[in-house]
Amino acid sequence: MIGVSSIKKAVSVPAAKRNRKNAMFLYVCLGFTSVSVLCLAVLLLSVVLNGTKHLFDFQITVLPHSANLVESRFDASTRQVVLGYSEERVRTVRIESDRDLAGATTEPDGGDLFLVFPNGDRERIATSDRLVSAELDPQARSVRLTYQVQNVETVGIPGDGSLEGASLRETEDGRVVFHYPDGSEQVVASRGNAVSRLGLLGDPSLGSVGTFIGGAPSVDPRKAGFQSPLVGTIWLLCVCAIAAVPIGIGTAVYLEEFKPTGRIGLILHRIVATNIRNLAGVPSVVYGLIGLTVFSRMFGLLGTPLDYQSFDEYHLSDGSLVVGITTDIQSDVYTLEGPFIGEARLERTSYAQISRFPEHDEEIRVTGTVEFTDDYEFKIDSEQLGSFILSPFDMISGEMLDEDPFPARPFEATFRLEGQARFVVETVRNGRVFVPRDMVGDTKQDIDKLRIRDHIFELKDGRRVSGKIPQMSDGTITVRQDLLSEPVTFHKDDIATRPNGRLAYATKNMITFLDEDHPLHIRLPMGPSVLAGGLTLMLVILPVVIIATQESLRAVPDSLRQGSLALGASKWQMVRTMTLPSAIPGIMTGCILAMSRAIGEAAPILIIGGVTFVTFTPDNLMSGFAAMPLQIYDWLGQPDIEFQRVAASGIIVLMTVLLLFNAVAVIIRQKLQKPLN
Amino acid sequence: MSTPAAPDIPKLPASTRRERSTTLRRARESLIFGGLVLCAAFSVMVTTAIVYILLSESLHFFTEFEEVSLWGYLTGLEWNPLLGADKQFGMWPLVTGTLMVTAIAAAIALPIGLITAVYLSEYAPARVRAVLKPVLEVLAGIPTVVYGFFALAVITPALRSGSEALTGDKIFDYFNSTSAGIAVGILCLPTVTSLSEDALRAVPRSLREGAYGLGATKFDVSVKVVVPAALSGVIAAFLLAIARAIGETMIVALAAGGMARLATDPTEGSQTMTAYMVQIFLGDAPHGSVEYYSSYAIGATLFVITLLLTLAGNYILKKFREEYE
Repeated sequence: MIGVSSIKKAVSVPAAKRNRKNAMFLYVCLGFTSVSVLCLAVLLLSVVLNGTKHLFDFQITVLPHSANLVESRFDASTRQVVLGYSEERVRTVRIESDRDLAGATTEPDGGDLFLVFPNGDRERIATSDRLVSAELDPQARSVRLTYQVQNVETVGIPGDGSLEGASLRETEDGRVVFHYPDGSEQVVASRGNAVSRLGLLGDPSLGSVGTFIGGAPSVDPRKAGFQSPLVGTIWLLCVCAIAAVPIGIGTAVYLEEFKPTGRIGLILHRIVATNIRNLAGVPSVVYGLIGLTVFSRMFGLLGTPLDYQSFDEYHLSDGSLVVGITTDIQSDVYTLEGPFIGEARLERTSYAQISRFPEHDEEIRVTGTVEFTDDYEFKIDSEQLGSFILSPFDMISGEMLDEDPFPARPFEATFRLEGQARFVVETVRNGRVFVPRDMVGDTKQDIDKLRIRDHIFELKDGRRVSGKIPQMSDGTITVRQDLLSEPVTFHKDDIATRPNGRLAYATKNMITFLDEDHPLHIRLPMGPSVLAGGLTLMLVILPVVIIATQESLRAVPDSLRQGSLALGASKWQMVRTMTLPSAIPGIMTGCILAMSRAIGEAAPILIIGGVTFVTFTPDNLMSGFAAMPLQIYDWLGQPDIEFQRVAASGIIVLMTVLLLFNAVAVIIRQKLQKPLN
Repeated sequence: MSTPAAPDIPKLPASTRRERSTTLRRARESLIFGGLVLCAAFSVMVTTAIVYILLSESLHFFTEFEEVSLWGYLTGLEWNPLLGADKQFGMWPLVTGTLMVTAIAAAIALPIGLITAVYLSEYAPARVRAVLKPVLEVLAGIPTVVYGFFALAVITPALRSGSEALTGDKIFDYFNSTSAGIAVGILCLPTVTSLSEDALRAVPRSLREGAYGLGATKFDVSVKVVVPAALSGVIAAFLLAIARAIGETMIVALAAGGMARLATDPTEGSQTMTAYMVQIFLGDAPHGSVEYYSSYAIGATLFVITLLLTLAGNYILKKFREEYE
């Protein structure tokens, strides 16, 4: 290919032409290179532009602890909440004069505060402007002055939608809550100080950075938090590092330091070396399949992992408790608008199929039957959407006729119609339950919908009950096989001892199987647990760790090895005292970079069954988990476009963690690495 | 070369000095060696497990279900695993979907990557190179969901509004192969650049100087001497990048859509093999169902394709490495 002839041919072209070509090529190079750099810039910019809006949009104003809210009003024209508050400030003033203070009093006069002695002498102490009280302490020869200070704070309401009808409410614990016209709420101000502000982290009704990082996930983009994915990722990383680092370093040491001499040994050595290069090229999604089969299911040899999952609990405002497992299944939410005569018009607010994303003006027509049973009540029935639930909770001015928190009933439902009515229609796939927002009592666990997996209960009387919707109140569990079948109800105490001899029991107000396990307890098969997830990630990064370690071992000059061998060290002593310590900065850097790859991996843990709508953080190795990239993926798949911003905020957190890892790697590389040759 | 920072004279561990019994020492040595061999064997075990699991579960898929046949899988043009009565298992819709995305990614990553590599190795001043290399490494370190976000939030809207401005019609669907392909291409760019740059820089100076001596310009040297001399390395880089593009999951699951159809139109959505697996496991496929096992067959297909590409890449790197000097 390369030969003198091709060059000779090239040189034979006139110089001017060649120089032009040469210059042009440089521009092409520069252009293409700047394309790559530009890509990075646009990528980061889009993340930052989208993400910071959600992250920093809504700063909660923290008023001083002693603040006394005098006025709070919302100015719709400037979109600002104006908070006027007064605050008491205390000052202690020493009395300069050395006269006897017995019988002396304080008295304000003409804007100043005077000390008045029994004989009528007056001495100015301080200003009396805004003074509330003054207490003279003759022993300490000081006056304690309390002033009332007026302040005004304003809070902007983000977004550009109409805020007609918005209102403010002051709560007893000193918060100011902003009510959006659509009924949702946002805390705009709270009393407290820097310390108690930290305590506010995670309150889902706050919309700032701390809330995002400390909050639970929610179906409301304004409230979506990132805590469980963040903590889940930390658990995964710990498991992954503990498994991958020793095995990886061991393999690399074998490959680099213990090269065998025998023939069979040599063949083995070569197989391992080639194998690792090929393993590095296996798509991570394939590792997910392996993790699923080996760790999560254990080839199905040890029973099904389904029995071991812990439940989520949701407190509803009617006092009932819903217990179940969150999964992630796409949902349809349709809003039906009346009047319902003949044909109903469906306004599409959400899409089930991610593959379908209709334009916003597209109409979905449902030609079900709408039947008025009397003047105000009607029945709705549609075959086209398949089985679906009608829930009356979104009625604008109707009464809620049905108090059941699970509107899981056959096709038809009866509602009262008053003027314009809206209904949420949900198609249920794989058993998902809709719990309306106003039914959720505990804001900490604010969940608008539940997604529940199939469940199997074995009862003492030998029955085996399986179904999709475990519901529990007062220790009674209701399971429905599907929406049309009769629900089966049983008491929690009737749940039988499980085949492996461990009792499934109920704690205070939550069914939990084996919940009080030691954090390191391990059950087999592992199911979609932190342990299975971490081990699967270990498979993904193992080749990376091995290759990085090999490279740093290779960089250790042979003279060091020969030196220690010459001093009589055995091979292992040489590795332990010379090679490994010299290579450790490189190894650490490589391991940290491998970990940062593990942080970003979503596909393998998605396959083994990491779920994306998790409100709890793992507390033992068998817990289910969420992970940062998985949560971001879930948000990006949400039909509500507002979730893209939430996802971008998540990406900012994820990238910050990655940046920290990389920074540590760079610092280690620079501080610890000594020239060895 | 800097002067060797004399490492501390190795102090033999105290245990060595105290140890009289060579038998004990030997026993411990072989114990440790055994442990290391076990570590090394683990990676071989992983490979064995991959092959075994993919094979056995695919075998299950092909033998246990009536609606599935190996021949139908290899030749079928329809993939409908979820439709109740009329389930179809022909791999080509997924394979063409994958190929479509990969082709678009390759069309972006290979030329830009190679030319960037040429620039970095032949033209760029040391200072520019010192900045650019880390920047590209940053690109390589970004998690793939972020690229998925990029595709959805930037590339797709840009494509749609761009095509609307040009032709008056939004040619591109919301989920389309082009957007996903471009994002995958950007993802693969650092792989191509850094691997081919390594290959280009390995070409000895003497070759370049010889060409200059004959009166060649820098362009002639780069294009006619250095790139051909490093061709094996460049091709290996291409193959490894393509393997990565084929195995990429999150971007295509997000941006390319979920409709498994024969991919002929890059403006439409298509489903790749990886995206199908994600769809199945997100939908909680019950263990033992036909769609559950179908993802193993797809996984096996994916594994074979990427393994072949990786093997070819590594083989070319090793076999055709031009040894100079």
